[in-house]
Amino acid sequence: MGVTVLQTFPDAFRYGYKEVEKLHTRIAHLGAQPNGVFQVDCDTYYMNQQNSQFNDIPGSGSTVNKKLHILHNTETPASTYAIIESPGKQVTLCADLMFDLLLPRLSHMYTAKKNLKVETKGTRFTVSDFIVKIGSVSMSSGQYKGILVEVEYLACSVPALCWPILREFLQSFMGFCVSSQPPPYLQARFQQVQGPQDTMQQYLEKFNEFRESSAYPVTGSLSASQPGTTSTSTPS
Amino acid sequence: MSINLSVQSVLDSIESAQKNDIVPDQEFVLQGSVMDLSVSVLLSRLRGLCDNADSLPETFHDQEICFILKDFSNPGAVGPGTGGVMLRVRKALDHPELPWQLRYTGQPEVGNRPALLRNCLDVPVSSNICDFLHELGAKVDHEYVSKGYIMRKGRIKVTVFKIFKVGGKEVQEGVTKSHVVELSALTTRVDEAIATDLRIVADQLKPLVNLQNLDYRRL
Amino acid sequence: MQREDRLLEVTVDTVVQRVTDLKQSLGLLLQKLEHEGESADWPDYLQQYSVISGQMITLLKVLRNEKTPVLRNYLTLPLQLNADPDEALLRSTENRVPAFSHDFVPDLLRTKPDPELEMKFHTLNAKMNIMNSDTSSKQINQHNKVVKHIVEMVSSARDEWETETSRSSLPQTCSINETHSLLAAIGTGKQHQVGKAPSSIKTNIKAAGQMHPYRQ
Repeated sequence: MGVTVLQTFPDAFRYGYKEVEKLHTRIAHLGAQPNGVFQVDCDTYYMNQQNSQFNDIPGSGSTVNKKLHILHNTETPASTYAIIESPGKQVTLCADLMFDLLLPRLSHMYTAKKNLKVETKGTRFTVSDFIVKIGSVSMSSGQYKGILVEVEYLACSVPALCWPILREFLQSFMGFCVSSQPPPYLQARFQQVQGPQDTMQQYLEKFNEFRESSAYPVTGSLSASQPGTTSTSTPS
Repeated sequence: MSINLSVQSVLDSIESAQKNDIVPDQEFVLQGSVMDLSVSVLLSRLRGLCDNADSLPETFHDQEICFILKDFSNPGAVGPGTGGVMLRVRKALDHPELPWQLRYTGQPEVGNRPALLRNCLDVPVSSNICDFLHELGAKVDHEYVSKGYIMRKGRIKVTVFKIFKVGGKEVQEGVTKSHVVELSALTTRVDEAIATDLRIVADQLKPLVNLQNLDYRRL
Repeated sequence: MQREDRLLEVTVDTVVQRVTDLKQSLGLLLQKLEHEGESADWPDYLQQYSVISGQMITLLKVLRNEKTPVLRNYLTLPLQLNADPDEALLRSTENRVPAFSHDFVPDLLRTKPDPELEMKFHTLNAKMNIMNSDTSSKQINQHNKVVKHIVEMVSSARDEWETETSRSSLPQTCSINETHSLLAAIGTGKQHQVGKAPSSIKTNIKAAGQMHPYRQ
């Protein structure tokens, strides 16, 4: 398991497939070989309001707005990831695929809102020590949201030791949309060993960004977008 | 328990429908106990009955924590089944590198069968499961440590173990000087033949141990 | 008719197979006992025991199967009564049975009951013909009463005897109460037996506000 970086590739005019093709050609020039397909999906549920401390006095307890996300990654096909997101805290559980069968049993804890499922799928490439996944993000309704590229550097598990080569590789085929600063997620864990759970947490961040983006295209920003704000700047 | 289809996304329910026919999610169980003094006799008899008679029975040392997930949307509900969902987290104290196990067991099914039948699901999870369940809103109901032997006979799992309180002391010192004996077998929804095999093995352990269908909720 | 015949054949074949397997394993065990005697390997014996018990179970399963015809209802008739050694029989029984004669199966070939029994049968028959129907019915009723009385006495004696011996001769190896309390402890965390003084150690963690030991 190496260091994984996610990068949104700007697709200002929503060309979708054309941009993906562009990336495929650029990657091919670097000597990448297509090596299968990949898919990462995320389903979100809203936790029922819980008066966690004061069961008998409704309204006086703390009502926390928590979300439960269930993610799958074809890179780790036997696992299901469950992330509980509450303001200020995130717990990521890595479980066997059978965890999906347990979800109906917990159904009383959460409600599902329509059309919240996001997924990214595309082709997977290998080029020496890198795995590059170029995916197009779409909602369950089929609505196209953007392009998300995942690059994994297999030779190293600590971001601090390999950020420069990762950045150089990313910039070589994606250009200046890649910032010289590492993404905030990696910055916060720069000296720590990365694992599959870190990859999924990054995916969740990106999926949240895509979900919140409305009809206006998302530019390649590295920071998580604030809910409600949309970037309307078009590339020059 | 009916699956609330409006909660799951369509893809998920299709997947689970497909999995349900081949995933072994039903369990037949027979439980009993044997006094500590007769445990060695029972073990030699079991060694003769079970697979791998030439090697010593495998030991295990686990800690089990039971969480209850209450239904907050309906706090006034009374009656059986509304106590909430019970989830058991089990970790191996003698092999801390192994993943933890999350287990859901359902209510015993009604009907006259040679063994107790209940829905059960075992999911290996990462070690932050307790944190996760806590965030989900579950509360610790009780916990205990179990230490004993595990043997196999075909598809049947035979365990003989003693219950301890977390911290090392035996549960109900002085009252319980017994080991728990449990025979269980996992099967799919449609295959009930294994229950007769369970009963046959149980009968071969008489009169040392009297294994029965006991629903602990009625005790 | 043909189906039944085939079924019977199949059943007999299966039973013969199972019995041969069982015989083989018993033979092996006997060999082991003879050769090794005191210095034998105990787990080996245990394995043998489990093999034999497994084979007995399969044999019983075959016999109890719904599809097996009720073998008790079938008669065996000798087709040939010859005192000379029969080649086929010798081969199939491994030289143990030379002929299907009165020496080997006296009861199967019997055509008349014992002479003593025959005499008794005749005297009873004669008595029966003389007897009056009233007296006979009275005697039958009395007989039934006496038998019932004896059955009651025997069953009450047996109950007493069982409870006595189970307490003294066979050491008690399991207790229902302990089973119940252990299963309650596993299933619901019930730590106390009804009536027992509450112990000072309570492990049921209750308050939600309490810092859970597993939180990092």
